[in-house]
Amino acid sequence: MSALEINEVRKTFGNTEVLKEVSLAIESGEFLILVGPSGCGKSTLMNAIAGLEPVTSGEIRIAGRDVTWCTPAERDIAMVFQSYALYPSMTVRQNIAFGLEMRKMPRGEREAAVERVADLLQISHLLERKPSQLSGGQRQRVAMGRALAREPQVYLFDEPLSNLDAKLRVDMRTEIKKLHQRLGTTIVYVTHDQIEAMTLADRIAVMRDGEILQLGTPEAIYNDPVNRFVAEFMGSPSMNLIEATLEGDAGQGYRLRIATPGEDDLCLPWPRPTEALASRVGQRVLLGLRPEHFAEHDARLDEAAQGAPFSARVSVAEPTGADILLRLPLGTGEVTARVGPRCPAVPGERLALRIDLERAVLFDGESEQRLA
Amino acid sequence: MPLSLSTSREVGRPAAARPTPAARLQAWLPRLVLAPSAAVSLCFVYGFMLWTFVLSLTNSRMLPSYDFVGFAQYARLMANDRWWVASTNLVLFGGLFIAICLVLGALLAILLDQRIRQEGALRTLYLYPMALSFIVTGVAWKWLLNPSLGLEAMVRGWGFEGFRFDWLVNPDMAVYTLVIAAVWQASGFVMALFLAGLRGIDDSIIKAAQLDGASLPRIYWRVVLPCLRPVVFSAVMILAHIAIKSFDLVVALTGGGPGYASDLPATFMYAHAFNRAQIGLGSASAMLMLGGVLAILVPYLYSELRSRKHG
Amino acid sequence: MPASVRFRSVMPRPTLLGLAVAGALGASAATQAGEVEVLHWWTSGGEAQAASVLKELVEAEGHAWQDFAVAGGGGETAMTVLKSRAMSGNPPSAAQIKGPEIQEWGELGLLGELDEVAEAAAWDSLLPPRVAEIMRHDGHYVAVPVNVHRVNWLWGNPEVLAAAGVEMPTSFDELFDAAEAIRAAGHVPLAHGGQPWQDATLFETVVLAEGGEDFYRRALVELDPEALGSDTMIQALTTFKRLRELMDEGMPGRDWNVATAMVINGVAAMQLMGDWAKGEFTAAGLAAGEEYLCAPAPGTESAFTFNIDSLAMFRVTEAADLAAQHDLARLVLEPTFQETFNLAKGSIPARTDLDMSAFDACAQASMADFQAAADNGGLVPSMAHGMAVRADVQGALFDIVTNYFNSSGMSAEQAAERLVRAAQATY
Repeated sequence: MSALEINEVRKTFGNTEVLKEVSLAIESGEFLILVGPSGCGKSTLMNAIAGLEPVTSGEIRIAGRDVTWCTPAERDIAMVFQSYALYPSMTVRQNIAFGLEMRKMPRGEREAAVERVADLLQISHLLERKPSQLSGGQRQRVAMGRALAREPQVYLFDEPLSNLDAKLRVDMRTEIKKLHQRLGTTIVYVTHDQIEAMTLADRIAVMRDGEILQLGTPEAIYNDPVNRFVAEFMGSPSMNLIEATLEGDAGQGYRLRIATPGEDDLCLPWPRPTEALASRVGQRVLLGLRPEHFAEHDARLDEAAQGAPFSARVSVAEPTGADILLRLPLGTGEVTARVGPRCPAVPGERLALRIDLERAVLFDGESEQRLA
Repeated sequence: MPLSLSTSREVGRPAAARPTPAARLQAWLPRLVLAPSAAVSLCFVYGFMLWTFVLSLTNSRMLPSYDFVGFAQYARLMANDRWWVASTNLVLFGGLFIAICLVLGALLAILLDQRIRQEGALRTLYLYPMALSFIVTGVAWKWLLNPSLGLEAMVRGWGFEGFRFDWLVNPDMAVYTLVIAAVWQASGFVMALFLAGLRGIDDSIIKAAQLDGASLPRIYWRVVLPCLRPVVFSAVMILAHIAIKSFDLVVALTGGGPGYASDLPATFMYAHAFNRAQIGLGSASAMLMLGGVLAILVPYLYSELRSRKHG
Repeated sequence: MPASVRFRSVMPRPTLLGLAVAGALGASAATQAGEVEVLHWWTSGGEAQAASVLKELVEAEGHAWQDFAVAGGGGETAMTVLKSRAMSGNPPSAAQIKGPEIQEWGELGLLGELDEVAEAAAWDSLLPPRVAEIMRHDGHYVAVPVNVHRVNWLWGNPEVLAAAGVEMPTSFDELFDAAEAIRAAGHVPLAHGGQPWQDATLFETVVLAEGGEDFYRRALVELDPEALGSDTMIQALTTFKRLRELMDEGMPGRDWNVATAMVINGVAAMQLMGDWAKGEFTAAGLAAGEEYLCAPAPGTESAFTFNIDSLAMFRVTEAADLAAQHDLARLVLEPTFQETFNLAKGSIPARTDLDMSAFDACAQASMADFQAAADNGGLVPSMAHGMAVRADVQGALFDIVTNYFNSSGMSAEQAAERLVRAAQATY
């Protein structure tokens, strides 16, 4: 029995369909992240799960119980909001205890729960303060504490780190991950930041226009994107998509011809033939290469062990400290390549690189669906 | 860094450590602009308050005189039956007026806040009485409350012979008619204040409270209304000064009557200072009114503003 | 007194000689036109017309009339305006001030003298001594009376009275008896408006009836504590309170003319009100003596409670303006104005030697009573209308009277006690 089940949930606002028959199942203790651009429906889905908005059709089950028409209070879920939503006129202690008070928990147990949660989140010294006297990070913890004190079936996090500054965001991210490992709670988390998604999730659901495009582990989403959108959305810098023409056949192997203006055509052998490729020969396909799939040509290593050779004139070199991001012309545009910090790349001069095609992906030129 | 308007003549001076006259003027400019209103305030409000106090220590009758008699006027005031009636009435009227307006205003605002249709029209309807002057309100309610012309006559005309609503002519109940008329006038305004306050509350707090399991009344009582303490503060300030100022309402609605059962300190002061040629006594009563106001409002102001500073 | 000294220093007091010279100059130099500014509150239809008669007369003398009318029935606003003008050292030439208040203004040293005019027109012979007394301060004439109102009148609707089978009562006992019959006939016996001044008017009439003119003077003019606390007063208060039984429920707060309208329309039988009520009857087109009745208030036939409007003159320094002011004073008491004004206003002339044939029956009866009372000591000043005591005392008495009348908790003894205390407190 899954902790949270969403079956064919549809939500319309007037004439617009905001959620288009979304289905999802989460196991107990799983950390699911809903990620997507603005307007994709992730917040609406979260509100629907919480019961703050009614669904037009479909079913929501929590721990096997049908809660589609239950009030938020009856669903046994807790939510952490983007704006923390702490009660301004109450102290931190009262904030955390409020939900317990509403459920008529006896005072002694309430106090114990508050102490426990405060200890866990290291906010014991803040219990008598009011929210206006806390910093952003402290408020975030209190908001989480309020949710934790309730010990619900499912936790919902609605972009909780968006209002924090960059460094704090990284710290809190780690805290949340540690908490999850320690407590083993079921979490549904919404964010638009794909780094958060990659680092925190057990599984990620990438959404666009009210649909879930792909549901899978971070690794699967990253390396096996189901279409161009997912491929480009995850990863920073995003995946390079290069226009190529598919040549060859099943017997002899497929090749990709990439035409770069002002250069010779680059012909790359495709290592993993699939059935879908057969019908696309001669057509335009998109080759997906992540920046880390490029490597410096190392003369000391064996030729065959490195990827396909490729050289181009470096247009921009951006050192990040840990590595260097190069911009090189390939195909109709430019690609970003990630090389080591000591790479002798000089803008304007040619550089020899290798392309690792083992992890590359191919998309159909029109439908943008994954081919191979 | 002060604006340096140094001319070529001043070039030889060392780098300006002292501000130039023009810069000094610029710094003083806001104060200069505010000075006239501050002076007017100081003179006409506080200066005349002081003068009233001085007059209350004299035996001024028809025109001000400066024969000092110490606190004799205050003694006379304390022995004056009508003054005690007026003061008690002010406490009754003011207390009831403020309390009922706050409750009614908050209730109406909460109801209007439920995103009902025609909210705009309803809001205008409730606010409309505020646009009337107290004289109009007083006269209209005087007709309504008159036993032989208004509500009592109408209900009796419907057949309820035993219906009585003669508060207006009953010395014990006349002051409550003032409360009715004043609440009718001002509660729309309080409602508007509360509505604005409610709209300013972050939606997610209400959602959080819903998830926490609180019912809607509970949410309003525990979460929303405590956030509205500044609104309550403003409302009380405004209502209190309306209550104390209530002169035209008394004159129009009851004329201070029957007898002087519904008199208020403002009408008492006016009658004595101007009609009865007893400026000394009137000034003493004015000072006592001021004292009463300060005694209540200063601690309230202090506690609210202090707690606001410490969040 | 420092106040009067200060005012005196602001406006130097001209010597008698100077006055005479100025007067002579003013009288001889007819081309030297002065200006009078007159503060009054004769603003309702008939009153305004009457006031404009005075204006024309003054202008016919070649002077300019600066009207300074301030609306507001009892003149309260006008008096407030007057005080502020006086404070700023710029009072008008003449103002509508009456009763003891004239003395108060005189004490401040602001009033100008009219002895010259009074001598020339022989005011002493025209005005009854009690009236002249009020117009004088420190022995000098400072004001001129405009009219004489009688306060102790009883007005009646003959139809209602006939329907009840009663006559206009001549004593309060008769009034109470008649009231029963009137109630039985389905009418309100006594129309009344529950405002402090109306309650006080009623009160003083009862005091006059119960105690007579001497008692009235001792109690309500001299404020003798013995009189105020006496059994007679307690009796008067009891009778006064009983009058409530004769009134209708909607009485509190009602205006006096609305009460008069009740008599006109036959809703009520009678009203105890001064002779300005006559204006209402006249305006309704009713004939005196036939369609409405007037009689002295029960028990007060020999007495005449007067309420006299007067113009008090302020100190004026400019010779031409002084002449204008004197002319004004003279014109006020002359027959032309007295007749025209009082016909319009409903009161009777202040001078006792006029031909009353133009006036209606009630006014003629009133004038006859006035002269009789002047001769036999029945003239009493109205306390309720500011003729008997100062404004602060009047106010205190009003408070007690109206409170007693309206509350159920005060006994006549308690009210009498309060009257005594009020009298003692202000002196």
